[in-house]
Amino acid sequence: MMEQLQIQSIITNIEKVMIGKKHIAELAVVALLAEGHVLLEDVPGVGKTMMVRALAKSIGADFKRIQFTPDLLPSDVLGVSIYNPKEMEFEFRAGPIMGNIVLADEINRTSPKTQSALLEGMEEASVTIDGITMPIPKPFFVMATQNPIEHEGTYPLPEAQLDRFLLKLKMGYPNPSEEIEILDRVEKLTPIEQIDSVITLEQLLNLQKQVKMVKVDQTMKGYIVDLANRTRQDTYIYLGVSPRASIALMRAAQSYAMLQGRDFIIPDDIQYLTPFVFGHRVILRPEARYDGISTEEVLTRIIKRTPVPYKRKVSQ
Amino acid sequence: MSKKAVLSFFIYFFVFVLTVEWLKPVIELTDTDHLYLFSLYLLISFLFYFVKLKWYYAAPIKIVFICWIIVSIYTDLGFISFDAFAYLIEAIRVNTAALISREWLEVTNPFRTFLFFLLLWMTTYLLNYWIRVRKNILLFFILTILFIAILDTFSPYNGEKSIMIALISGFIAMGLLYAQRVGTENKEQVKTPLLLGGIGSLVAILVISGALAFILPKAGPIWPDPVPFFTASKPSASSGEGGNGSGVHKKVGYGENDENLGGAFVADDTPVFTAAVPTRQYWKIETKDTYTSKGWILSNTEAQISSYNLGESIQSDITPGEEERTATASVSMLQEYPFVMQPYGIKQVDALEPFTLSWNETNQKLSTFNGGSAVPITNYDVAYSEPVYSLKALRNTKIESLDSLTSEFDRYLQLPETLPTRVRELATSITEGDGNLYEKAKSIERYFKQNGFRYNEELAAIPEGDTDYVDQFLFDTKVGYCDNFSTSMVVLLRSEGIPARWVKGFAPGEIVEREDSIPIYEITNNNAHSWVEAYFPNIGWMTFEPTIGFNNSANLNYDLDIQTDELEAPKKTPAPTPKKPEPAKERTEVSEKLTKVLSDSIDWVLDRKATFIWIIIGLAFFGLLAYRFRRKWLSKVLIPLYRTRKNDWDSFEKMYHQLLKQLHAYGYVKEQGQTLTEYATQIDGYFSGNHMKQLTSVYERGFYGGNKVEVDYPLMRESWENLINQLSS
Repeated sequence: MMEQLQIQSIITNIEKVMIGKKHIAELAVVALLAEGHVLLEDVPGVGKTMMVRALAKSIGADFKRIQFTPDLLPSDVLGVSIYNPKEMEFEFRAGPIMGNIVLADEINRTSPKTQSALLEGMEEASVTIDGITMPIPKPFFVMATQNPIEHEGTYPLPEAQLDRFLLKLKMGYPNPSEEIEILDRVEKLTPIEQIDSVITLEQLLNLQKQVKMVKVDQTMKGYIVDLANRTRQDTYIYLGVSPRASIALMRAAQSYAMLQGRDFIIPDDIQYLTPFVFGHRVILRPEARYDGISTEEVLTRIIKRTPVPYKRKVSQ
Repeated sequence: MSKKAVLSFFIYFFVFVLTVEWLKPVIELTDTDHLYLFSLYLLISFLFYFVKLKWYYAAPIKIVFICWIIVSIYTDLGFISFDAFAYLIEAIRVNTAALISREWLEVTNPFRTFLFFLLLWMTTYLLNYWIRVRKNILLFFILTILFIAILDTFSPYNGEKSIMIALISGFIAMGLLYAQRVGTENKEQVKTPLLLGGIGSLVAILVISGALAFILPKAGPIWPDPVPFFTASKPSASSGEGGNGSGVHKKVGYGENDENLGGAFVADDTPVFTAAVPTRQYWKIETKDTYTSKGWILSNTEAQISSYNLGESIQSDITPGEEERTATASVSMLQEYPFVMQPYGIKQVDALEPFTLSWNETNQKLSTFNGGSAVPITNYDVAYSEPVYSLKALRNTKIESLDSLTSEFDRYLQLPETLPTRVRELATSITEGDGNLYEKAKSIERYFKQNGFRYNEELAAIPEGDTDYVDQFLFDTKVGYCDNFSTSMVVLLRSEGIPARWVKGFAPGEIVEREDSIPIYEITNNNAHSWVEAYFPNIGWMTFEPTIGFNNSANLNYDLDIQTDELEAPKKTPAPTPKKPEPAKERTEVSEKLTKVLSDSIDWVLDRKATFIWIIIGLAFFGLLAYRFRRKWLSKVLIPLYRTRKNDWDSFEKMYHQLLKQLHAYGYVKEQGQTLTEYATQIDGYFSGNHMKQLTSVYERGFYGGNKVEVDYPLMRESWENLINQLSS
C-alpha cells in the first residue's frame, strides 16, 4: 500500500528525532492526515517543538512557531496591514498563522482574545483582516501546547475552543533508557538537521484526500454514536461529547486505519482513539474527582461496557 | 470401647440397616427367600469391617459362610460332610464349564446365589470404603432413597416402611459420620457432651420431623399409579374364573370381583371375542343387585336355574322384539369364558359343540355346561330380536304403579343403610317435575352429561373409610368410568323407587372387517363395560346408558322410529314433554362419532401416559448426556456439516459465528467491549497458534471493509476446522 509506506516514512523520520514516542508521532500524523489539529498538554522540554519541527521537515512544509505570552495580540498571530508609503496603500503582512505547520506554544498563557483568533483561524482555515478574507495555505496543521492547567498564570481554554482540537495528547517523560539514547544522539549532532523531507506537500494533500475514502461500515458509525451517547448518559460525566466529536472520532479512525494499511476501520481503531478524541471534550462531575476517577478511566469504562458490533442485526 | 469405636459401631449399624433396605425389595420382587440369611451375611461383613479384621481372615470365613448357606438352602446334607464337599465341587465344575462355554442359562441356582453373595460382598466393600476413607455416604443414601422410591412407584413392592427406616437411619449415619469427620479433622478429641448433644439433637430433629411428616396431611399422587400399566402389559393368564366378566378391570391388589369398585385401571386391548352381527350390540353377561356402598355383590336369594338345550327357546326376563326382526349373532370366543355373551332380546343359542345352557334367574347369566361342569364355549350363534319399547306406553308409566310391585323386586330396590341422604335428595331434585317413570329415568341418565362429569379411567377414586362410592362420585370427584356412572344411576333410580340393576358385559367394540356385508365386531378387554337396566311396570326391563362417551342409542333410535309412525311424527312437533334427547341424538350422531374419535385418541394418549412420560424422561436424559459430552461429538457434526457448504462469504460468516458461539460455550467468553482482534489474540494465546487471528482479520475485512472477494476460503476452512477440532479435544 502506497499510502501506508508514505505515512510510515514520515513516522520513521520523526522517530529519528523523537526517541520512544512513536505513538505520539503516529497520532500527530493521524491528526495531520485527518486535517485536524492537536493539543499537546505537557510540561516544557519533553520534545514537543522538536517533534513538530521534525514533522514539518518530513513533509517539506513551512514551519511557523508562535510563542504565546500574556501580552500577545491577535494581530501578532494573524498578521497586520501596514501602510506602505511607497505604494501609497496598506499592505498585508501575514502573521505566523499563515504557515503549513504551526506550533502554538503555551496557548493557555495568552488572553482569551488572542486564543480565539488562533482557534477561529484553525476552524475556518482562513483569516479575515480589515475585511479581506485570506485562505490559509493547505495543508494547515496546528499543534498547540499547553502547560497542565494547574500551573499559575494561565487562561484555561473554554470547552468550545477545546472542541476544535481533533486530538489531545500527553507526551510524558521518556524512560531512563530512552533518555540515555536521547543524550547519545545529541552528543555530537543535532538530529533535526539530519532529516530531510520524505514526501511532498502534494503527496500529503493527496493522502488527506485518501483518508476520506477509507470505508466506514454502518455498524462502525453505530458504534461511534453508541460511544458518544454513553458519554452523555454516564453518571460521572457532566457534559458529554458533541456530534462534532463523533465526526472527529470517525475522521481520526479513518486516518488511523490508513496508517495501519487498511482501507476500512475496525472497532480497534475507534477504541484506541476514543480517549484522545473524547478526552478533552467531556467534563466530569465533581463526584468523579472525589472518587479519584480520571477522564481516561471513565472513558475506558465506557469502552468496556459498549458492545462491539460484530454481526449484522437480523433485521438488516 | 473408646468413644470413637462406639461412634463407628453405630455408623456401621445404620449403614447395615440401609443396606438391608436394598435387600428387601430385591428379595421380595425376585421371589427369593431367606432374607435373614442374606442379612446375616451383611451383618457379618459389616462386623468384620468394623473390627477391621484383616482380609486374609475375613475372606475365608465369608466364603465358608457362603458355602454353608448354599449347602443348607439347596441340600439336606450336613455341612461338615464329605457329600456336601462333593456337592460344592460338582457345582463349581458344572458352572465353570457353563461359564466357559458361555451357556448362560446352564448355570445352576446355587451358583446364582453365590454370585449374588459376591455382589453383596462388593457392595459391603464399597460401603466400607465410603465409611472409612471417604467418610461420606450421601451418595449411597440418595441412591437408597431413589431405589426404594422407584421400586415403590413402579413395582408392586410397597416401600412405605422402608422409606421411613432408610431416611432415619441414613440421616443418623450421615450425622455420625460428620461427627467423626469433625473429630479427625480437628485432630482433637471431640468432647463427649458436645457429641452426645449433637447426636441427641440430630435424633430429636429426625423424630420430630418424621412424626410431623407422618401426621401432616399429604397431597395425593399427581401421576396415576404406573403399576397397573406394567401388570396389564403382561398377558393375563387368569380371568375366565368366576365368570363375572372380569379379567378386565385390572386393579392393583384387589380381587376380580366387584365388591370394591374404583381406582385406576389401564387399557388392555387383548381381544375377547369377535361377533358377526348386523347391528352393534351391548353384550350382557350378568347383572348384580346388591349395592354395598363400595361395590356390588349378588344377593343371597336362592338361585333359580333353568336348563336349556342348544336351540331351545330361552325365557329371559326381557321380552324379545317381533319375530320378523330376529337376527343372528355369530360369536367366536378368543378367550375362554364358560358363559354366553347375550345380545338384548336373546331367543336361543346354537353351537356345533355339545353343550347345555343354564339360565340363572338371579343374575341373568347364561352359563355353558358340558357333562355337569362349566366349560368354556368357543363358537356359537345367538338368535335375538332387539326388544322394542313403545314410547307411548313408556310415557304412560305411572309413578303410582310402583306401589303395586311384588316383593320379588325388593332386591332391585335395595340400598345400603349408610347411603347419605343427599344422594336421595339429589335423585328427587333431578326427577322433579317428571310425570312418568320413563322421564325420570331419562332425567337421571341425562344428569351426568350435563353436570360437569368427566370420563377418565385413571382418576377414578377409591372410596376410603366410610365414604360411599356413589356419593363420592356424585358430589366430590365427578370423575370416573362406566362403573361410577352406572352404579350411580342404579342408586339414583332406586332412590326414586324404580327397580334397577347393574349390568356387566361388553360394549359393542369395533368393526374389524365385513363378511357378506355383515360387520364383524372385535370386542377387547377395553370394551368391558357396565350399564343399567331399569324396570317399569307393564313395560319390563329396559337398558340405560349413563356413561359419558358411550351411547346405546341404536336400540332407542330404532324404537323411536316406530314410535314416530305411531304417534304421527311427534319428533317434528316441539316435544310436549322434555323428551328431546332422542331427536337430538340423531342430529348429533355424526358429531358424536367425531367426539368419539377425539376422545378415543385422547384416551389413547392418556392410557399410555406412563409410556409417554418415560419417553420424555428418556429423551431428556439423552439430551442431557448429549449436552454433557457435546465436546466429544460437536466437531464430528459441525465439520462435516459445514463442509457441505460452498466456499463463499455467507458460509464463512456463518462458520465464524459458529466458532464464536462454540468458543463462548467452552468458556472463552468474549467481553462486551472486546473487539474481535483482541479476542482473537486471546484465543490464539490459549491454543498457541494464529488461526483465530487469520480468520478474524479476514472476517473484519469482509464485515467492516466490505471486501469479500479476495478471500482464500479453503485456507480459512482449514483454520476453522483446526480450531473446532482443538475445541473438541
